[in-house]
Amino acid sequence: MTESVLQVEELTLSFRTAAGLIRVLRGVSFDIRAGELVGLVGESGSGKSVTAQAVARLLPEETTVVESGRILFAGRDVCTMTEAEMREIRGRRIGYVFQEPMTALNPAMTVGDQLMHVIRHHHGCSRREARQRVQRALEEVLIHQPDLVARQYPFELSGGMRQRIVIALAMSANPALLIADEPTTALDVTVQAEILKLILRLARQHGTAVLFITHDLGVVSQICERMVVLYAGEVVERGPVREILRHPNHPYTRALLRAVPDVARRGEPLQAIPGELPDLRHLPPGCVFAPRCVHRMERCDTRPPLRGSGDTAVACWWSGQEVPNR
Amino acid sequence: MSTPIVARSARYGGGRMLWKQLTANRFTALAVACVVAIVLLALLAPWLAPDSPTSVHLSQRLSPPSARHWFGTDEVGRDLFSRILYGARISVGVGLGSVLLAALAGTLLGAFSGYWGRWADQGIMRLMDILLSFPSIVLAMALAAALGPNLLNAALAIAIVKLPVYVRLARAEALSISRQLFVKAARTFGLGSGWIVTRHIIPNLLPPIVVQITLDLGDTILLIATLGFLGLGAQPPTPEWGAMISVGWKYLLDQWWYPTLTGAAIFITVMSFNLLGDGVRDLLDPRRHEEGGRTS
Ligand SMILES: Nc1ncnc2c1ncn2[C@@H]1O[C@H](COP(=O)(O)OP(=O)(O)OP(=O)(O)O)[C@@H](O)[C@H]1O
Ligand SMILES: [Mg+2]
Repeated sequence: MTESVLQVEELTLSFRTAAGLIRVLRGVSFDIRAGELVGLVGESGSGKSVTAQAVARLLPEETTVVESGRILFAGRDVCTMTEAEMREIRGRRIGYVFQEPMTALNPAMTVGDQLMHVIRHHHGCSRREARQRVQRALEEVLIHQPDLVARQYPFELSGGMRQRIVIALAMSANPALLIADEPTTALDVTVQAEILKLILRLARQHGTAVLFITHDLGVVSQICERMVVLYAGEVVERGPVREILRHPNHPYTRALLRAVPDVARRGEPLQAIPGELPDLRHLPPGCVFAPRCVHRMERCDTRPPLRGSGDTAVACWWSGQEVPNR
Repeated sequence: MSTPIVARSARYGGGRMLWKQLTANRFTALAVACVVAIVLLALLAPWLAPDSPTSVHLSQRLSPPSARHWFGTDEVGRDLFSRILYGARISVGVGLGSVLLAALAGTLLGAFSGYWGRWADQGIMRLMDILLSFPSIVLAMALAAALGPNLLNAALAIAIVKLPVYVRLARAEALSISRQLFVKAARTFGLGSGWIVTRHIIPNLLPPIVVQITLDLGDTILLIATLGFLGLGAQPPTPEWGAMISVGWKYLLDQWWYPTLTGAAIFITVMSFNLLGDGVRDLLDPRRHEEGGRTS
């Protein structure tokens, strides 16, 4: 078993808001090994972005409370690092790609200059060497006229092009972990596929581990090796993508799968999941998914622990009862 | 949120477009012409002036405008045209200098204040509130008097008076820019706050700062003249317009050209810069545009 790049252990995180403390993540645990692509999936509002931003420590310091748990990056706890130590890690060891390529670049600077600054910041190299690295970085993300593009401002570029630049920026220091928070959601379908392929290729080529956030299970099935299913701030199931897709254990995962056209088995009708995410301030006492669950039992009024063997784990009383039928 | 900035920098970037739009309004075009002429006259003063602005000819004191002395002479026979030309250098040069100083310091302070927040922000903003609580002319007079009456101190005093406007403007812009994704993205590259403020925040808040600079120029030139008039700025024999009028007003009845032409120089210059400022603001400030569109 290869070493873990990232271990999130029993992370419980809250935000201070006007309405009081809101617990957004509860006991989230998962790990990412070197060079591995892990998908983080869940409905909107389930806490995917919060998890990702907690890893890079990008959440607003004044309002974020890490109540318990650890986030180990390369064996060190991110939560206890100083801001200066964190700056060494951001960009250099952890690259980050946001959902909105439209606003992730500085509108007042050419993309070449932005790359140049970041590259010089990382490598401390001369202007001339940095210029060559900019060129190479742009070629790496398959930009065909790097000289031309480098001189353009973000508003002159399409969404797909901008996302390539953002990826080039995130990968410029060859980080050990790339966090991609819904990198293709804002793009149209053809461009989506290209960006996915690009991320996959770069990750393979550089041995970069990727935390890939999406609510698109189709994407996860295409590029990820393992996946983590988040529901209302809790991990309800995690394991190798192939196993989960073939045999989802948690009723929520099953429901998610039935809601995706290309993953749902042919002949089975597409189904939206009835109900909605619970209010984080008034959670059910037991299983968080119980109010929407078709297999709800008496036992579900107590919280099911995340149990499993090896890579697979599921937090459900119902699925724990059955013997897996392969 | 991000669109205006993008649009603004696009508009800001096109120099030729800007020129075209600026000269489309007749008043603004006139102001541009006047400002260009004034700046040229100021720059070329040593070559254009028929005489040194300080050489005294007691035999020709207070002579009326003539072929030799276009604007007449003053109470010690100095050529008024030469003095007014050199005065333009002082007014425009010192005016621009003190506004730029205020803008530079104010932008840095305001941008850091807005990005950092917390105690630094609190401290800086309270200080600016104190500065703003005085009428600007009173504060400028008090500061100039305290620093000692000379031209440099007058410029410094005016820069301090103008500072809060830039700090507030830069801070408000910095606050809204900091909330944008590209600033968070810059943090994910491991860039420090100094870098983020100077390279990511300040370049994006420049358009409104530029507008404010052009709006302040006329007012500043007037303030310099006022301080000079009150004896708190340039001292004689420096050919500063305000200082010149403070002597010249006594001759208003018998040698009307002396204070009148000097006053006209101040009036035309301040008016031109004010009109230019208004024109630039209408062009670069999108909020202004929208308001105009809605009300008309
Ligand atoms: N800074 C914050 N302060 C307070 N609450 C927050 C903050 N950031 C996120 N939240 C809350 O945390 C919860 C999880 O949000 P998060 O952005 O992680 O969802 P997500 O899974 O990424 O959803 P999406 O698919 O829409 O991006 C939401 O209820 C959100 O309102
Ligand atoms: Mg999100």
